[in-house]
Amino acid sequence: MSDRGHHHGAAPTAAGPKTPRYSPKDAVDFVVVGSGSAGGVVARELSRAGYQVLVLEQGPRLGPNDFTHDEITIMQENLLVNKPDLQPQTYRMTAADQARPSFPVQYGRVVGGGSVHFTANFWRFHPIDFKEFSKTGPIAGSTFADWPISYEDLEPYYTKVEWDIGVAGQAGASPVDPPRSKGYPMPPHPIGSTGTLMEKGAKKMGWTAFPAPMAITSRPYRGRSGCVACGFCLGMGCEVGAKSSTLFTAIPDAEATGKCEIRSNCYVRKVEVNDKGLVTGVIYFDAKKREVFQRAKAVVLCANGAETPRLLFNSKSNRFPDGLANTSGIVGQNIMFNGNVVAMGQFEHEVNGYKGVAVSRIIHDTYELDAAKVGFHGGGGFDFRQIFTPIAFGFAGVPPDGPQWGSAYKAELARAFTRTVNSFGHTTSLPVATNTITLDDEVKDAWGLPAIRLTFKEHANDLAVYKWFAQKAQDLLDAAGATKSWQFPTENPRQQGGGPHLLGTCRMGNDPATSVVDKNHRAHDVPNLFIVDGSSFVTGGRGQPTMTIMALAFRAGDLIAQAAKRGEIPSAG
Amino acid sequence: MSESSVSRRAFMAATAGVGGVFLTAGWTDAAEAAERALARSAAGAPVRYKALAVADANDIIALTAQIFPSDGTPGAKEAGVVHFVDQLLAKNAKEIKAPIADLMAQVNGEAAKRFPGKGRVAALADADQHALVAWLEKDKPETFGFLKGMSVAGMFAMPARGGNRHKAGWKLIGFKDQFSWKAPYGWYDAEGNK
Repeated sequence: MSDRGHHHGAAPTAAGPKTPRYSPKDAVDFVVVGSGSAGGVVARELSRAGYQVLVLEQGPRLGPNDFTHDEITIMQENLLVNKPDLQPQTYRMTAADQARPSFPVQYGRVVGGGSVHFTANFWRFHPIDFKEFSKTGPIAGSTFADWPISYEDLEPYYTKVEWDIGVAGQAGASPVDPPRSKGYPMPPHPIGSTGTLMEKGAKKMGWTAFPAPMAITSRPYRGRSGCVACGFCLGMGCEVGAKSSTLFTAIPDAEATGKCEIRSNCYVRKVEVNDKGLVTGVIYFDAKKREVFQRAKAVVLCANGAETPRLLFNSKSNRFPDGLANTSGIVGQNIMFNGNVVAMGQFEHEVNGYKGVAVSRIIHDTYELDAAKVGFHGGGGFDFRQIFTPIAFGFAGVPPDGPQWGSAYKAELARAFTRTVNSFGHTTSLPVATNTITLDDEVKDAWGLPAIRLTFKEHANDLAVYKWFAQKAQDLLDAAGATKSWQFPTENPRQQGGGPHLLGTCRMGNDPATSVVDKNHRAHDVPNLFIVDGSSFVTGGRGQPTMTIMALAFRAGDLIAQAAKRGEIPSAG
Repeated sequence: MSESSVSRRAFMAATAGVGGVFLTAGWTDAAEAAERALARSAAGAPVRYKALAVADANDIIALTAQIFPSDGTPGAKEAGVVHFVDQLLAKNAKEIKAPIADLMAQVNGEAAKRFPGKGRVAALADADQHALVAWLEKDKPETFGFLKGMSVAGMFAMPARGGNRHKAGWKLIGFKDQFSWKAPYGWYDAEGNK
């Protein structure tokens, strides 16, 4: 590993440094696999520290001109996310079941990853999230454990996310706000009617609804536009660059160093190691499906909690027969999706939840529930919003016990679209060893690689959490004055798990027997391999993981750069 | 279940039985083509379709009008949902042809049994068409899901995709197609700001 790796690109110009084009034959200081919330931030930090960084992103590079409010392009044609025809998946509830085609795992497949389409709820974890095991003790059937780092370790990096990436909010507004070294750089977004109603409901429930921290600019910020309140955040790319995606923040910062190349449409299939067990580079398919071997002095995997373990499995070798960095045998285990329950309510007057940022108020009084009182371990928070764009509302916006077609259905849509509120509960979900991402034995993707296979069954404790939160979510709507309310089911008896929150599959820890990476994100088994994304999580927090993924990435980038400067990252030479 | 999977699941709900394929297509000139077809229709000329057979198109008009009737406010017929379906079929025949054929075969087969000698679905009385859609909902849920999916998407998708003519669907539900908003957004925050 070179200190301040040699410059490979063209010389800086008056307009700024030119983006380098690294040769596959030359070992770059760092290959970063994935450009999302983790990869974009890691690339920024390493390139700003002076290192050569090559980011390989399997998806295309799109920008505001490519983004659209068209629901079909986004929700059906999957413009911004992984596509079932290219990368099929399978699901089984337990290892004894036959896996069948399904598509439970969603992730951003575009430069910026999931941060392009996220809703932008940016909750910090609280101190309890890192040490729940110590407080609660073991839970049968769960691999519940403490993190090897504390909230205090991560706090400076949460602040960095808020200021360097851009989060709007109000410090101290939460009755249980975790300690912070600095306030938010931008004021909260305007309260919408969903927020006003949540305040009313919360007051009746004895709780406090406070301004939601959102990774969306509430005023012009660091060269980016302020939000125009178009309302199409969930699932969509921001057409004015106000959403604090790495696409609009960390990645341009990285490129401005002249040290970072973002290579899109490059799908990594294998991390190569030599006979000494050191990473030598990665093999990827380029846009024309040609294989390229890119040499690297070190590799950082930021491919998300499903693709990272899949890549490790696909990188097995004689030295690592069970998958790279998997001598512990736990790669792919403990996947957590977060609990996420929904109630719906209708109100007398217009709410117009389709306008403005998705969430303006949240509740955290229930962040840590008293197990002795509720009968289960866990906690979470609530928000109010209206998530259904017009087509989606036509499918799922009306009460399930009401008319589903005909004049009465049409009249109900006409009355309810502007008057409906979703009440979300975002909760803990436990790590379980038998909940896994593995490779399917038979199904292959469009490149011939084994497909993702999800094995997942909800832990009984979590089902109790979901049930409690779903009822309280509905109670909140009723307390806010809903004229009608109902819940979505909290359990699917045929298929469980799934979603875009992909956590826990390469957990961090101090013991190489029970974790994949150490507390500095270095693989226990491979000294020049690092893993930084949702897979690093030990527990899942309360349903809003992206802020913590970014904070971990800032911290990891910092620590990896420090290790490189100290000459503590061996390379294959 | 995640927030985006809720939305996505809702979106896919009506399409599960046909592999979720009913909406995938390219869409360059769909709205223009629909407008041309409608102009011809308004002028009394027979409507031309890009891909749908006229008899199938007439049945689809009748069936989607049961999902969104013309009952004082514009329904599927006025919103041009059939043109959404036509463009879909023209652009994506491989995936959409079979579900449409299944729908046609099932409803017309049942129509022949229930209403012998009365012709295809389009020729039946409104009450008979209603009875057929009710039968689909009860006995052929996958086909009903496909019909409803086409109807909902054709009613509320961007007009550029051929349906939602003159934003009829959006106007129906009160969705205002505007790129930028300023608070207050609704009645409750307006009251709170007073």
